[in-house]
Amino acid sequence: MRLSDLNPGTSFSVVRVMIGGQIGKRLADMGFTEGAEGLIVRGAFMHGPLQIRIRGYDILIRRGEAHLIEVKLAEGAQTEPSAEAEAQAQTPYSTSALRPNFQFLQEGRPGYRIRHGKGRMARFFGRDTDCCGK
Amino acid sequence: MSQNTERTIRIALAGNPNAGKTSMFNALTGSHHKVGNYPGVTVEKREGSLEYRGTKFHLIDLPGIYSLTAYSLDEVVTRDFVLDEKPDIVVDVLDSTNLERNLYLCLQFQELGIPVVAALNMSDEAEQNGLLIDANMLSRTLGIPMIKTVGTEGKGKEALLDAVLEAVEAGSSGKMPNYGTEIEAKLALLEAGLKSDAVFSDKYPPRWMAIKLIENDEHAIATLSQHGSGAKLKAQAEEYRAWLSKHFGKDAEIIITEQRYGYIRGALKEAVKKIPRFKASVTESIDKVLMNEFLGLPVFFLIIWGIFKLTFAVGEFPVQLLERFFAGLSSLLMAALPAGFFRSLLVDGIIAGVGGVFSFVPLIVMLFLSLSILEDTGYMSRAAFLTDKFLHAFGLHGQSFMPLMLGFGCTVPAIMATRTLKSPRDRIATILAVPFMSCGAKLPVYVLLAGAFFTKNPGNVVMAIYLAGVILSMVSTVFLRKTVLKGQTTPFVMELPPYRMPTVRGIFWHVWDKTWQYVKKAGTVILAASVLIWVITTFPQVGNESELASRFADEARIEAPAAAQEQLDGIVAARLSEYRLEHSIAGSIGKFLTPVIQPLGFNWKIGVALIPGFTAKELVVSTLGILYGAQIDAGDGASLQDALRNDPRMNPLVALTLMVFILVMPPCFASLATIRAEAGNRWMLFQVGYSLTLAWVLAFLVRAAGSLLTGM
Repeated sequence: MRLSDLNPGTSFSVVRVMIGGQIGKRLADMGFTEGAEGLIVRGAFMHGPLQIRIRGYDILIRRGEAHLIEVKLAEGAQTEPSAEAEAQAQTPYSTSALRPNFQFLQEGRPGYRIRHGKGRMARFFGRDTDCCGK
Repeated sequence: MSQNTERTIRIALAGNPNAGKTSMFNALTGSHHKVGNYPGVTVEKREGSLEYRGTKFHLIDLPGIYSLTAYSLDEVVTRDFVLDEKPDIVVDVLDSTNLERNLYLCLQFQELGIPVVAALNMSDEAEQNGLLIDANMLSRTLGIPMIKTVGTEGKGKEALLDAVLEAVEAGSSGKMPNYGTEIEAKLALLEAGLKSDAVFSDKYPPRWMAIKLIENDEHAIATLSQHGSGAKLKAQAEEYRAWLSKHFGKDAEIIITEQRYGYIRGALKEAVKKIPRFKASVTESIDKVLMNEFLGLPVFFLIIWGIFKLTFAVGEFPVQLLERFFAGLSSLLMAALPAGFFRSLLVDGIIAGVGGVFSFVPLIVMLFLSLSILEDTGYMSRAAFLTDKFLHAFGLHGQSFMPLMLGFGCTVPAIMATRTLKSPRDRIATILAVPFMSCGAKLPVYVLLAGAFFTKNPGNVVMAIYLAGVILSMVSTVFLRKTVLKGQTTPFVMELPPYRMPTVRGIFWHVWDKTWQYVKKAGTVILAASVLIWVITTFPQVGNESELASRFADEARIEAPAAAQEQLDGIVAARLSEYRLEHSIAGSIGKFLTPVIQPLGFNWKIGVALIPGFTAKELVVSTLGILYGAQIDAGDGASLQDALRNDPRMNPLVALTLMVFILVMPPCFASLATIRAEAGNRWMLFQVGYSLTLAWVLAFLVRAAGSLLTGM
């Protein structure tokens, strides 16, 4: 399960950072290492960044980066991954997640969307929205 | 101790962002500091000095960082500084409320083999939070002297300096984290290899270098080329990394990180006790509103609007005072000095140009005052959190929002505000997007043209131009991100500090440093530019001025026989300046430019008027005034609007084209000077070329489309 799959208010424990190189090292440096426990405090409007409490401080990361962190639920935590998160979990990480992403024009809050990836904006902007619509 | 009186101890002050490093620096040095840049980069460098117990100390404030990798410019600057300049000691300022992550950096300084002293800063806040820190035990466990301090109140600074003196005498403690049997074995082998080149191992501490090689650090691997047997070591390190990641089932750099955090955990477990306090944190309560999914953005816009109101309402009065002062100074010089080049240079060139820039100072002070308060309280990170989604879609960053908003006021402080952006690519993208936000000086030009040619709804036209600027900035950023700024956007990984009360002292120095930089940098360039513009609008001189004057007087009398003598004088003076400008270098340039601007429907007069537009956009209005021979009495633009309307070559389409051109053309010299200071010469030149090309192309398209639609 990925960190981006969890809902605000969920406690988790880090399993591993799934990307190497500079981004992975940075996330590890900031405290995302195996066994580190954390809490998702909140997410920003329109699927914006997440506020995460880890190692006694709060950090903001985008959902794209949160998608690179494998976690498991902390003991006693109660939540179920959202439907959209499950769909996303199937897609391996690609760099397109970090490119200008017009998805926000198309999607509202999870659960409010009816036709994913088939809207006019999605068809117009094509490729960029493909990453999550399968 | 006796030799200490002769030498200066060089302290590098380091620490995480938000750990109170700046307030510690201010507490230690008082007002004895200067601000500059690290050589070749735009990372700010603050230096200061102090004397304590007969010893001189020189403090260098290093950028706030989280780790010593090669992740950001700040980190590279810090580590190059420590390796190249070899300070006597590193003082690491730690946030006591957040020791776990703060110590992570501290250990890396220890590995550099330089004496380290840590300031357990914000110890008062930690106590309030129920954290009991045993500083002595922590010092013994980690081998780093730890002194409790409160930087904002200057508490503990003597004890800190005592510890510094002691540590400099004693040298590095030699104690370092242990990375476990397997890694230590590989490190020992690499260290032995690194020591074979004495020159190299003297500059780069072998143990640190060995760790960096295991961490797969690009910079460290690149420096290996200076080593006698660098290629061999590189292959060796690669082999070890491969072995370690196979053995542990994860990348070697991740194992190192985990070991460091484990080591810190162990030390903190013994030295820190936490008393649970059942009190909702203030920060959390405030954030429930300010970072609320639905309330957050409206409140944010309210705050921005408030800052604007405050800046321009409060700033307006001193701006007017300064303008009046410079106007008074000009008339004083007009009266005191004999007419001639020198007076003209002083009054029309230097005072008009430099005075114009200095008049902005109150606005800069107000803007930076507001921004420093937002920054020091911790609201800036929240603003980034709220706006990141929208801006990221266009290839910008949450922290780009503030500079973009400021751009509507004045481009100069807006570009200076991009310093909060840590990644150079995001920063340059923001710097290049800012000039599209129509600054205050462009407004008079829009008002003049819209008022003259769109009499039915001038307000809507001005609004449309502003809106076009915003859309253009976003489209342009997407374009630049796909071309010159190609590459992955940097991840948004940002600490969210708790709310803190800003100190008057901290705010004061922040505002002072920023304002002084503006005055100094923009001032020198503006001075040069003003003189240049004066030269090209003044030379070559027309010889027979009195003859011309009488000719114009005759003409005027024929044209307007009923006019009073005063009016006639005015007309003659205006005709004279028009004639002078037409025959000056600027006039020749304007005419020379005709083939370029003709396709846009601009006549040579507009070409001339655009030239001072490079120094300041509002000068376009006054130059047009001179060229159209209208009398621009104070505040009365009506006659110029009439004159523009009466020009057969002018029509609403040309006016619209001109507005688009002014919107996109390069920003004023002061802004360009700031871009140069912040992003370097190449980006400034790029900005000029890019915006000129874009301005021409867009203006041409507007003209072409307009011609097709209206037949004008």
